[in-house]
Amino acid sequence: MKAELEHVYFSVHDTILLEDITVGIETGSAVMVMGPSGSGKSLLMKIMAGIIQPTSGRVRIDGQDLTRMNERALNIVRRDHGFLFQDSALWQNMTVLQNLSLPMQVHHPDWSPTRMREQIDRLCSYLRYEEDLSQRPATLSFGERKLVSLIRSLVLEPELIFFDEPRTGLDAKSHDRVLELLKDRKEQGKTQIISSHDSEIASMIADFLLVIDRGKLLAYDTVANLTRTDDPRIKEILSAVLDLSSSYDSDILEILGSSDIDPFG
Amino acid sequence: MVIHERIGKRVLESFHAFLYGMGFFASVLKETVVYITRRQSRRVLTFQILFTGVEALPVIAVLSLGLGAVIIIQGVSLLPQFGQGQLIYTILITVITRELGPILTAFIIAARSGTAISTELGNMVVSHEIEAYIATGINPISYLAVPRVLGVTFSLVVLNLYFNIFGLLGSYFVTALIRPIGFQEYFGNLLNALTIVDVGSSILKSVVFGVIISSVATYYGFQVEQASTEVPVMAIRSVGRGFVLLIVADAILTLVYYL
Repeated sequence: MKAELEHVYFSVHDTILLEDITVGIETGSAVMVMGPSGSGKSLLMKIMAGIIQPTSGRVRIDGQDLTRMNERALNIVRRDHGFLFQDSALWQNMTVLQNLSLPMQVHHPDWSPTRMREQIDRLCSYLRYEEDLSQRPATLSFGERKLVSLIRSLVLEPELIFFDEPRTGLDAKSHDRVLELLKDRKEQGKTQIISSHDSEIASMIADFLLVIDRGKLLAYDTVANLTRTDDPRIKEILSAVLDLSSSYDSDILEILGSSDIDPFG
Repeated sequence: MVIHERIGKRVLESFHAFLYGMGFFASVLKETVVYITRRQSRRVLTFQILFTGVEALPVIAVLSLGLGAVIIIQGVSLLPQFGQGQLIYTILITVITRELGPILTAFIIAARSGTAISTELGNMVVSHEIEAYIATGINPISYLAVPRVLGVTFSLVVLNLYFNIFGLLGSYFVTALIRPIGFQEYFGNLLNALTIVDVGSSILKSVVFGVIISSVATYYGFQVEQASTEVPVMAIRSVGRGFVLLIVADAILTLVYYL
Protein backbone atom coordinates (compact mmCIF):
# COMPACT_ATOMS: atom_id res chain seq x y z
CA MET A 1 0.00 0.00 0.00
CA LYS A 2 1.28 3.41 -0.97
CA ALA A 3 0.87 6.37 1.37
CA GLU A 4 1.28 9.99 0.34
CA LEU A 5 1.05 13.27 2.18
CA GLU A 6 0.85 16.50 0.21
CA HIS A 7 1.38 19.87 1.92
CA VAL A 8 -0.16 18.66 5.14
CA TYR A 9 -0.69 21.20 7.91
CA PHE A 10 -2.19 20.54 11.30
CA SER A 11 -2.93 23.22 13.87
CA VAL A 12 -4.86 23.45 17.12
CA HIS A 13 -6.27 26.92 17.79
CA ASP A 14 -3.34 29.10 16.71
CA THR A 15 -0.56 26.59 17.30
CA ILE A 16 0.87 24.87 14.22
CA LEU A 17 1.80 21.27 15.09
CA LEU A 18 2.63 20.03 11.60
CA GLU A 19 3.80 22.33 8.83
CA ASP A 20 3.83 21.64 5.11
CA ILE A 21 4.64 17.92 5.19
CA THR A 22 4.97 16.35 1.76
CA VAL A 23 6.14 12.78 1.55
CA GLY A 24 5.45 9.66 -0.51
CA ILE A 25 5.88 6.17 0.92
CA GLU A 26 6.18 3.37 -1.60
CA THR A 27 4.41 0.03 -1.33
CA GLY A 28 6.39 -2.54 0.60
CA SER A 29 8.82 -0.12 2.17
CA ALA A 30 9.60 0.16 5.86
CA VAL A 31 9.80 3.76 7.02
CA MET A 32 11.08 4.76 10.42
CA VAL A 33 9.74 8.06 11.69
CA MET A 34 12.26 9.80 13.91
CA GLY A 35 12.32 13.01 15.85
CA PRO A 36 12.62 14.34 19.37
CA SER A 37 9.74 13.98 21.83
CA GLY A 38 6.88 16.29 20.94
CA SER A 39 8.07 16.72 17.37
CA GLY A 40 4.77 15.40 15.99
CA LYS A 41 5.66 11.78 15.10
CA SER A 42 2.52 10.18 16.54
CA LEU A 43 0.32 12.94 15.11
CA LEU A 44 1.89 12.49 11.68
CA MET A 45 1.25 8.74 11.81
CA LYS A 46 -2.38 9.26 12.90
CA ILE A 47 -2.91 11.69 10.00
CA MET A 48 -1.35 9.20 7.56
CA ALA A 49 -3.63 6.47 8.94
CA GLY A 50 -6.71 8.67 8.52
CA ILE A 51 -7.44 8.70 12.26
CA ILE A 52 -7.08 12.48 12.44
CA GLN A 53 -7.93 14.81 9.55
CA PRO A 54 -5.30 17.44 8.71
CA THR A 55 -6.18 21.13 8.91
CA SER A 56 -5.17 21.38 5.25
CA GLY A 57 -3.38 19.31 2.63
CA ARG A 58 -4.03 15.91 1.12
CA VAL A 59 -3.52 12.39 2.47
CA ARG A 60 -3.67 9.56 -0.04
CA ILE A 61 -3.56 5.82 0.48
CA ASP A 62 -3.21 3.91 -2.79
CA GLY A 63 -4.35 7.05 -4.58
CA GLN A 64 -7.55 7.44 -2.53
CA ASP A 65 -7.77 10.89 -0.94
CA LEU A 66 -8.68 10.38 2.72
CA THR A 67 -9.42 14.07 3.21
CA ARG A 68 -12.30 13.94 0.71
CA MET A 69 -13.97 10.75 1.88
CA ASN A 70 -17.11 10.41 3.94
CA GLU A 71 -16.94 8.54 7.24
CA ARG A 72 -18.22 5.27 5.82
CA ALA A 73 -15.63 5.16 3.02
CA LEU A 74 -12.91 6.17 5.49
CA ASN A 75 -13.80 3.27 7.77
CA ILE A 76 -13.35 0.85 4.89
CA VAL A 77 -9.86 2.28 4.24
CA ARG A 78 -9.01 2.21 7.95
CA ARG A 79 -10.09 -1.44 8.13
CA ASP A 80 -7.19 -2.26 5.82
CA HIS A 81 -4.64 -0.60 8.11
CA GLY A 82 -3.26 -1.72 11.39
CA PHE A 83 -2.32 0.81 14.03
CA LEU A 84 -0.34 0.04 17.15
CA PHE A 85 -0.76 2.81 19.70
CA GLN A 86 2.14 3.88 21.86
CA ASP A 87 0.09 3.36 25.03
CA SER A 88 -1.78 0.27 23.74
CA ALA A 89 -5.24 1.94 23.83
CA LEU A 90 -7.03 -1.29 24.65
CA TRP A 91 -10.76 -1.10 25.34
CA GLN A 92 -10.87 -1.30 29.10
CA ASN A 93 -14.49 -2.42 29.40
CA MET A 94 -13.80 -5.57 27.40
CA THR A 95 -11.76 -8.70 28.00
CA VAL A 96 -8.62 -9.36 25.98
CA LEU A 97 -10.59 -11.82 23.83
CA GLN A 98 -13.31 -9.23 23.15
CA ASN A 99 -10.63 -6.64 22.29
CA LEU A 100 -9.21 -9.01 19.73
CA SER A 101 -12.56 -10.22 18.37
CA LEU A 102 -14.36 -6.90 17.93
CA PRO A 103 -12.59 -5.74 14.72
CA MET A 104 -13.41 -9.10 13.11
CA GLN A 105 -17.01 -9.08 14.36
CA VAL A 106 -17.56 -5.62 12.87
CA HIS A 107 -15.73 -6.06 9.57
CA HIS A 108 -16.27 -9.77 8.98
CA PRO A 109 -19.71 -10.58 10.41
CA ASP A 110 -19.75 -13.62 8.13
CA TRP A 111 -16.77 -15.18 9.95
CA SER A 112 -17.75 -17.89 12.40
CA PRO A 113 -16.66 -17.59 16.06
CA THR A 114 -14.39 -20.61 15.44
CA ARG A 115 -12.64 -18.87 12.57
CA MET A 116 -12.17 -15.72 14.65
CA ARG A 117 -10.81 -17.76 17.53
CA GLU A 118 -8.39 -19.56 15.21
CA GLN A 119 -7.11 -16.22 13.93
CA ILE A 120 -6.59 -14.96 17.48
CA ASP A 121 -4.90 -18.19 18.64
CA ARG A 122 -2.60 -18.16 15.61
CA LEU A 123 -1.44 -14.60 16.32
CA CYS A 124 -1.11 -15.20 20.06
CA SER A 125 1.02 -18.23 19.34
CA TYR A 126 3.08 -16.28 16.75
CA LEU A 127 3.82 -13.52 19.26
CA ARG A 128 4.01 -16.01 22.14
CA TYR A 129 1.28 -14.34 24.13
CA GLU A 130 0.29 -17.00 26.63
CA GLU A 131 -1.90 -15.14 29.14
CA ASP A 132 -5.56 -15.91 29.84
CA LEU A 133 -7.67 -14.16 27.20
CA SER A 134 -10.58 -13.68 29.59
CA GLN A 135 -8.63 -11.09 31.59
CA ARG A 136 -9.38 -7.39 31.46
CA PRO A 137 -6.61 -5.12 30.13
CA ALA A 138 -6.30 -3.42 33.55
CA THR A 139 -4.97 -6.66 35.07
CA LEU A 140 -2.17 -6.96 32.50
CA SER A 141 1.34 -5.54 32.68
CA PHE A 142 2.36 -2.73 30.32
CA GLY A 143 4.25 -5.16 28.09
CA GLU A 144 1.34 -7.61 27.95
CA ARG A 145 -1.04 -4.81 27.01
CA LYS A 146 1.34 -3.79 24.25
CA LEU A 147 1.40 -7.34 22.88
CA VAL A 148 -2.40 -7.55 22.94
CA SER A 149 -2.59 -4.22 21.15
CA LEU A 150 -0.10 -5.52 18.59
CA ILE A 151 -2.21 -8.64 18.03
CA ARG A 152 -5.32 -6.46 17.68
CA SER A 153 -3.59 -4.43 14.97
CA LEU A 154 -2.87 -7.67 13.07
CA VAL A 155 -6.19 -9.55 13.32
CA LEU A 156 -7.59 -8.07 10.11
CA GLU A 157 -4.35 -8.97 8.28
CA PRO A 158 -3.60 -5.42 7.11
CA GLU A 159 -1.31 -4.63 4.20
CA LEU A 160 -0.18 -1.40 5.85
CA ILE A 161 0.68 -1.09 9.52
CA PHE A 162 1.60 1.89 11.65
CA PHE A 163 3.65 0.99 14.70
CA ASP A 164 4.02 3.71 17.32
CA GLU A 165 6.97 2.72 19.53
CA PRO A 166 6.42 -1.02 18.98
CA ARG A 167 9.09 -2.30 21.37
CA THR A 168 8.87 0.24 24.19
CA GLY A 169 8.01 -1.40 27.51
CA LEU A 170 8.45 -4.99 26.34
CA ASP A 171 10.62 -7.61 28.04
CA ALA A 172 13.65 -9.03 26.22
CA LYS A 173 11.78 -12.06 24.84
CA SER A 174 8.89 -10.02 23.45
CA HIS A 175 11.39 -7.43 22.21
CA ASP A 176 13.00 -10.05 19.96
CA ARG A 177 9.63 -11.46 18.89
CA VAL A 178 8.42 -8.04 17.74
CA LEU A 179 11.63 -7.55 15.78
CA GLU A 180 10.99 -10.91 14.11
CA LEU A 181 7.45 -9.79 13.29
CA LEU A 182 8.76 -6.62 11.65
CA LYS A 183 11.32 -8.65 9.70
CA ASP A 184 8.67 -11.15 8.58
CA ARG A 185 6.37 -8.38 7.39
CA LYS A 186 9.27 -6.77 5.55
CA GLU A 187 10.02 -10.06 3.80
CA GLN A 188 6.33 -10.39 2.89
CA GLY A 189 6.54 -6.98 1.22
CA LYS A 190 4.05 -5.32 3.58
CA THR A 191 4.32 -1.56 4.08
CA GLN A 192 5.37 -0.56 7.59
CA ILE A 193 5.58 2.89 9.12
CA ILE A 194 7.31 2.79 12.45
CA SER A 195 7.79 5.59 14.94
CA SER A 196 10.69 4.61 17.11
CA HIS A 197 14.07 5.48 18.58
CA ASP A 198 15.13 1.88 18.36
CA SER A 199 18.56 1.39 16.79
CA GLU A 200 17.87 -2.24 15.80
CA ILE A 201 14.74 -1.25 13.90
CA ALA A 202 16.68 1.54 12.21
CA SER A 203 19.44 -0.79 11.16
CA MET A 204 17.59 -4.01 10.42
CA ILE A 205 14.12 -2.98 9.28
CA ALA A 206 14.00 0.59 8.01
CA ASP A 207 14.46 1.28 4.30
CA PHE A 208 13.82 4.98 4.77
CA LEU A 209 14.13 7.43 7.63
CA LEU A 210 11.63 10.25 7.99
CA VAL A 211 13.01 12.89 10.30
CA ILE A 212 10.74 15.55 11.75
CA ASP A 213 11.41 18.27 14.25
CA ARG A 214 8.91 20.74 15.73
CA GLY A 215 6.33 19.70 13.17
CA LYS A 216 8.57 20.25 10.13
CA LEU A 217 9.89 17.58 7.83
CA LEU A 218 13.68 17.76 8.00
CA ALA A 219 14.46 14.80 5.78
CA TYR A 220 13.03 11.75 4.08
CA ASP A 221 15.63 9.53 2.52
CA THR A 222 17.27 6.16 2.64
CA VAL A 223 19.18 5.25 5.77
CA ALA A 224 22.43 5.23 3.85
CA ASN A 225 21.93 8.69 2.38
CA LEU A 226 20.84 10.22 5.65
CA THR A 227 23.91 9.05 7.52
CA ARG A 228 25.95 11.23 5.14
CA THR A 229 23.94 14.37 5.77
CA ASP A 230 25.62 17.67 6.57
CA ASP A 231 22.60 19.08 8.36
CA PRO A 232 23.62 19.50 12.01
CA ARG A 233 20.05 19.13 13.32
CA ILE A 234 19.50 15.85 11.43
CA LYS A 235 22.88 14.62 12.65
CA GLU A 236 21.87 15.46 16.18
CA ILE A 237 18.56 13.56 15.90
CA LEU A 238 20.16 10.55 14.23
CA SER A 239 22.99 10.45 16.72
CA ALA A 240 20.48 10.02 19.53
CA VAL A 241 19.74 6.63 18.00
CA LEU A 242 23.24 5.87 16.80
CA ASP A 243 24.68 6.43 20.25
CA LEU A 244 22.32 3.89 21.75
CA SER A 245 23.98 0.92 20.06
CA SER A 246 27.35 0.22 18.58
CA SER A 247 25.78 -2.44 16.34
CA TYR A 248 23.81 0.26 14.61
CA ASP A 249 27.00 1.99 13.50
CA SER A 250 28.40 -1.19 12.07
CA ASP A 251 25.09 -1.98 10.36
CA ILE A 252 24.97 1.44 8.76
CA LEU A 253 28.55 1.14 7.66
CA GLU A 254 27.77 -2.28 6.27
CA ILE A 255 24.92 -0.78 4.28
CA LEU A 256 27.24 1.90 2.99
CA GLY A 257 29.59 -0.86 1.92
CA SER A 258 32.74 0.27 3.67
CA SER A 259 33.82 0.18 7.30
CA ASP A 260 36.20 3.07 6.63
CA ILE A 261 33.49 5.61 6.00
CA ASP A 262 32.69 7.93 8.84
CA PRO A 263 28.92 8.47 8.50
CA PHE A 264 29.17 12.07 9.62
CA GLY A 265 32.42 12.69 7.80
CA MET B 1 -7.57 42.54 21.59
CA VAL B 2 -10.26 45.21 21.69
CA ILE B 3 -13.64 44.40 23.14
CA HIS B 4 -15.62 44.19 19.90
CA GLU B 5 -13.06 41.74 18.49
CA ARG B 6 -13.42 39.60 21.60
CA ILE B 7 -17.21 39.66 21.36
CA GLY B 8 -17.05 38.85 17.65
CA LYS B 9 -14.66 35.96 18.27
CA ARG B 10 -16.90 34.62 21.04
CA VAL B 11 -19.99 34.84 18.83
CA LEU B 12 -18.21 33.02 16.02
CA GLU B 13 -16.98 30.31 18.41
CA SER B 14 -20.51 29.85 19.79
CA PHE B 15 -21.90 29.66 16.27
CA HIS B 16 -19.31 27.04 15.30
CA ALA B 17 -20.03 25.08 18.48
CA PHE B 18 -23.76 25.20 17.69
CA LEU B 19 -23.18 23.98 14.13
CA TYR B 20 -20.86 21.24 15.41
CA GLY B 21 -23.47 20.17 17.97
CA MET B 22 -26.16 20.04 15.29
CA GLY B 23 -23.85 18.07 13.02
CA PHE B 24 -23.15 15.63 15.84
CA PHE B 25 -26.86 15.24 16.54
CA ALA B 26 -27.61 14.67 12.83
CA SER B 27 -24.85 12.08 12.71
CA VAL B 28 -26.28 10.29 15.78
CA LEU B 29 -29.74 10.22 14.16
CA LYS B 30 -28.34 8.90 10.89
CA GLU B 31 -26.30 6.19 12.60
CA THR B 32 -29.32 5.26 14.74
CA VAL B 33 -31.24 4.35 11.60
CA VAL B 34 -28.25 2.30 10.38
CA TYR B 35 -27.91 0.64 13.81
CA ILE B 36 -31.55 -0.39 13.95
CA THR B 37 -31.56 -1.81 10.44
CA ARG B 38 -28.19 -3.58 10.64
CA ARG B 39 -27.60 -6.90 12.36
CA GLN B 40 -24.81 -6.28 14.83
CA SER B 41 -23.84 -6.81 18.45
CA ARG B 42 -26.30 -5.34 20.95
CA ARG B 43 -23.88 -5.72 23.86
CA VAL B 44 -23.43 -1.99 24.58
CA LEU B 45 -27.19 -1.40 24.27
CA THR B 46 -27.95 -4.21 26.72
CA PHE B 47 -25.48 -2.85 29.26
CA GLN B 48 -26.88 0.66 28.86
CA ILE B 49 -30.45 -0.51 29.51
CA LEU B 50 -29.25 -2.51 32.49
CA PHE B 51 -27.40 0.47 33.97
CA THR B 52 -29.90 3.21 33.15
CA GLY B 53 -33.13 1.30 33.42
CA VAL B 54 -32.78 -1.58 35.83
CA GLU B 55 -30.34 -0.08 38.32
CA ALA B 56 -32.37 3.13 38.61
CA LEU B 57 -35.56 1.31 39.60
CA PRO B 58 -35.16 1.57 43.42
CA VAL B 59 -34.53 5.33 43.44
CA ILE B 60 -37.43 5.93 41.02
CA ALA B 61 -39.73 3.76 43.15
CA VAL B 62 -38.94 5.64 46.37
CA LEU B 63 -39.27 9.05 44.72
CA SER B 64 -42.53 8.29 42.93
CA LEU B 65 -44.17 6.67 45.96
CA GLY B 66 -43.22 9.68 48.10
CA LEU B 67 -44.39 12.23 45.54
CA GLY B 68 -47.67 10.45 44.93
CA ALA B 69 -48.28 10.50 48.67
CA VAL B 70 -47.42 14.20 48.99
CA ILE B 71 -49.71 15.20 46.10
CA ILE B 72 -52.68 13.31 47.50
CA ILE B 73 -52.17 14.72 51.01
CA GLN B 74 -52.09 18.28 49.64
CA GLY B 75 -55.00 17.63 47.29
CA VAL B 76 -57.21 15.96 49.88
CA SER B 77 -56.70 18.79 52.37
CA LEU B 78 -57.21 21.66 49.85
CA LEU B 79 -59.67 20.61 47.15
CA PRO B 80 -62.70 19.77 49.37
CA GLN B 81 -62.50 23.34 50.74
CA PHE B 82 -63.48 24.52 47.25
CA GLY B 83 -65.96 21.71 46.74
CA GLN B 84 -63.75 20.14 44.08
CA GLY B 85 -62.79 16.87 45.81
CA GLN B 86 -63.39 14.86 42.61
CA LEU B 87 -60.67 16.87 40.83
CA ILE B 88 -58.03 15.01 42.81
CA TYR B 89 -57.93 12.26 40.16
CA THR B 90 -57.46 14.73 37.31
CA ILE B 91 -54.76 16.51 39.30
CA LEU B 92 -52.97 13.24 40.00
CA ILE B 93 -53.00 12.31 36.31
CA THR B 94 -51.93 15.80 35.21
CA VAL B 95 -49.17 16.20 37.76
CA ILE B 96 -47.78 12.67 37.84
CA THR B 97 -48.39 11.35 34.33
CA ARG B 98 -48.02 14.48 32.25
CA GLU B 99 -45.50 16.50 34.23
CA LEU B 100 -43.59 15.03 37.15
CA GLY B 101 -43.23 11.52 35.74
CA PRO B 102 -41.33 12.48 32.59
CA ILE B 103 -39.37 15.45 33.97
CA LEU B 104 -38.33 13.98 37.34
CA THR B 105 -37.33 10.68 35.77
CA ALA B 106 -35.34 12.68 33.20
CA PHE B 107 -33.59 14.69 35.94
CA ILE B 108 -32.64 11.52 37.79
CA ILE B 109 -31.33 9.87 34.64
CA ALA B 110 -29.48 13.03 33.55
CA ALA B 111 -27.75 13.24 36.93
CA ARG B 112 -27.08 9.53 37.11
CA SER B 113 -26.56 8.13 33.61
CA GLY B 114 -25.74 11.42 31.85
CA THR B 115 -22.69 12.02 34.05
CA ALA B 116 -21.69 8.38 33.81
CA ILE B 117 -21.82 8.46 29.99
CA SER B 118 -19.85 11.73 29.74
CA THR B 119 -17.25 10.50 32.21
CA GLU B 120 -16.86 7.10 30.57
CA LEU B 121 -16.52 8.51 27.05
CA GLY B 122 -14.23 11.31 28.28
CA ASN B 123 -11.91 8.79 29.90
CA MET B 124 -11.96 6.73 26.71
CA VAL B 125 -10.83 9.79 24.76
CA VAL B 126 -7.97 10.42 27.21
CA SER B 127 -6.77 6.81 27.06
CA HIS B 128 -6.97 6.88 23.22
CA GLU B 129 -9.64 4.16 23.19
CA ILE B 130 -11.81 6.28 20.89
CA GLU B 131 -8.87 6.65 18.50
CA ALA B 132 -8.48 2.87 18.65
CA TYR B 133 -12.09 2.50 17.45
CA ILE B 134 -11.43 4.95 14.62
CA ALA B 135 -8.14 3.25 13.71
CA THR B 136 -9.92 -0.10 13.48
CA GLY B 137 -12.54 1.35 11.16
CA ILE B 138 -15.30 1.31 13.79
CA ASN B 139 -17.36 4.49 13.93
CA PRO B 140 -17.48 5.59 17.62
CA ILE B 141 -20.81 7.33 17.05
CA SER B 142 -22.33 4.14 15.68
CA TYR B 143 -20.72 1.82 18.20
CA LEU B 144 -20.65 3.98 21.36
CA ALA B 145 -23.10 6.88 21.04
CA VAL B 146 -26.08 5.21 19.31
CA PRO B 147 -26.51 2.29 21.76
CA ARG B 148 -26.34 4.80 24.62
CA VAL B 149 -28.95 7.06 23.01
CA LEU B 150 -31.26 4.09 22.36
CA GLY B 151 -30.60 2.55 25.78
CA VAL B 152 -31.23 5.78 27.70
CA THR B 153 -34.33 6.65 25.65
CA PHE B 154 -35.86 3.20 25.99
CA SER B 155 -35.04 3.10 29.71
CA LEU B 156 -36.52 6.55 30.25
CA VAL B 157 -39.83 5.57 28.64
CA VAL B 158 -40.04 2.43 30.78
CA LEU B 159 -38.94 4.26 33.95
CA ASN B 160 -41.55 6.93 33.30
CA LEU B 161 -44.29 4.29 33.13
CA TYR B 162 -42.84 2.75 36.27
CA PHE B 163 -42.83 6.18 37.97
CA ASN B 164 -46.47 6.70 37.03
CA ILE B 165 -47.55 3.33 38.40
CA PHE B 166 -45.64 3.78 41.66
CA GLY B 167 -46.72 7.42 42.00
CA LEU B 168 -50.37 6.47 41.64
CA LEU B 169 -49.90 3.48 43.94
CA GLY B 170 -48.28 5.72 46.57
CA SER B 171 -51.22 8.07 46.43
CA TYR B 172 -53.60 5.12 46.83
CA PHE B 173 -51.87 3.90 49.98
CA VAL B 174 -52.09 7.37 51.57
CA THR B 175 -55.71 7.79 50.47
CA ALA B 176 -56.52 4.40 51.97
CA LEU B 177 -55.04 5.54 55.28
CA ILE B 178 -57.02 8.83 55.35
CA ARG B 179 -60.30 7.55 53.93
CA PRO B 180 -60.72 3.83 53.30
CA ILE B 181 -61.42 3.38 49.59
CA GLY B 182 -61.55 0.30 47.45
CA PHE B 183 -58.63 -0.39 45.16
CA GLN B 184 -60.93 -0.90 42.18
CA GLU B 185 -62.93 2.26 42.88
CA TYR B 186 -59.78 4.34 43.24
CA PHE B 187 -58.14 3.09 40.07
CA GLY B 188 -61.47 3.19 38.24
CA ASN B 189 -61.71 6.90 39.01
CA LEU B 190 -58.09 7.38 37.92
CA LEU B 191 -58.68 5.57 34.65
CA ASN B 192 -61.75 7.71 34.01
CA ALA B 193 -59.60 10.81 34.40
CA LEU B 194 -56.84 9.37 32.19
CA THR B 195 -57.01 10.02 28.45
CA ILE B 196 -54.97 8.56 25.63
CA VAL B 197 -53.54 12.04 25.06
CA ASP B 198 -52.15 12.02 28.63
CA VAL B 199 -50.38 8.73 27.99
CA GLY B 200 -49.17 9.84 24.56
CA SER B 201 -47.91 13.16 25.92
CA SER B 202 -46.07 11.40 28.74
CA ILE B 203 -44.38 8.91 26.40
CA LEU B 204 -43.51 11.62 23.86
CA LYS B 205 -41.86 13.68 26.58
CA SER B 206 -39.87 10.66 27.77
CA VAL B 207 -38.62 9.96 24.25
CA VAL B 208 -37.60 13.61 23.69
CA PHE B 209 -35.96 13.83 27.13
CA GLY B 210 -34.13 10.54 26.60
CA VAL B 211 -32.70 11.72 23.29
CA ILE B 212 -31.68 15.06 24.86
CA ILE B 213 -29.94 13.51 27.90
CA SER B 214 -28.04 10.88 25.93
CA SER B 215 -27.07 13.12 23.01
CA VAL B 216 -25.82 15.88 25.31
CA ALA B 217 -23.92 13.38 27.48
CA THR B 218 -22.23 11.66 24.54
CA TYR B 219 -21.48 15.02 22.89
CA TYR B 220 -19.71 16.35 26.00
CA GLY B 221 -17.95 13.01 26.54
CA PHE B 222 -16.43 13.26 23.06
CA GLN B 223 -15.54 16.93 23.69
CA VAL B 224 -12.75 15.91 26.08
CA GLU B 225 -9.49 16.45 24.23
CA GLN B 226 -6.43 15.27 26.11
CA ALA B 227 -6.36 15.70 29.87
CA SER B 228 -8.17 13.69 32.52
CA THR B 229 -8.90 17.01 34.29
CA GLU B 230 -11.27 17.85 31.41
CA VAL B 231 -13.44 14.83 32.20
CA PRO B 232 -15.25 16.17 35.30
CA VAL B 233 -15.56 19.61 33.68
CA MET B 234 -17.36 18.09 30.69
CA ALA B 235 -19.50 15.88 32.93
CA ILE B 236 -20.68 18.95 34.87
CA ARG B 237 -21.33 20.82 31.61
CA SER B 238 -23.28 17.86 30.30
CA VAL B 239 -25.58 17.82 33.34
CA GLY B 240 -26.00 21.62 33.41
CA ARG B 241 -26.71 21.91 29.69
CA GLY B 242 -28.90 18.82 29.83
CA PHE B 243 -31.07 20.28 32.62
CA VAL B 244 -31.55 23.54 30.73
CA LEU B 245 -32.51 21.74 27.51
CA LEU B 246 -34.89 19.46 29.42
CA ILE B 247 -36.73 22.42 30.96
CA VAL B 248 -36.93 24.21 27.59
CA ALA B 249 -38.19 21.06 25.85
CA ASP B 250 -40.70 20.41 28.64
CA ALA B 251 -42.06 23.96 28.36
CA ILE B 252 -42.37 23.68 24.58
CA LEU B 253 -44.08 20.27 24.70
CA THR B 254 -46.50 21.39 27.42
CA LEU B 255 -47.31 24.51 25.43
CA VAL B 256 -47.95 22.43 22.31
CA TYR B 257 -50.25 20.17 24.37
CA TYR B 258 -52.47 23.09 25.35
CA LEU B 259 -52.50 24.80 21.95
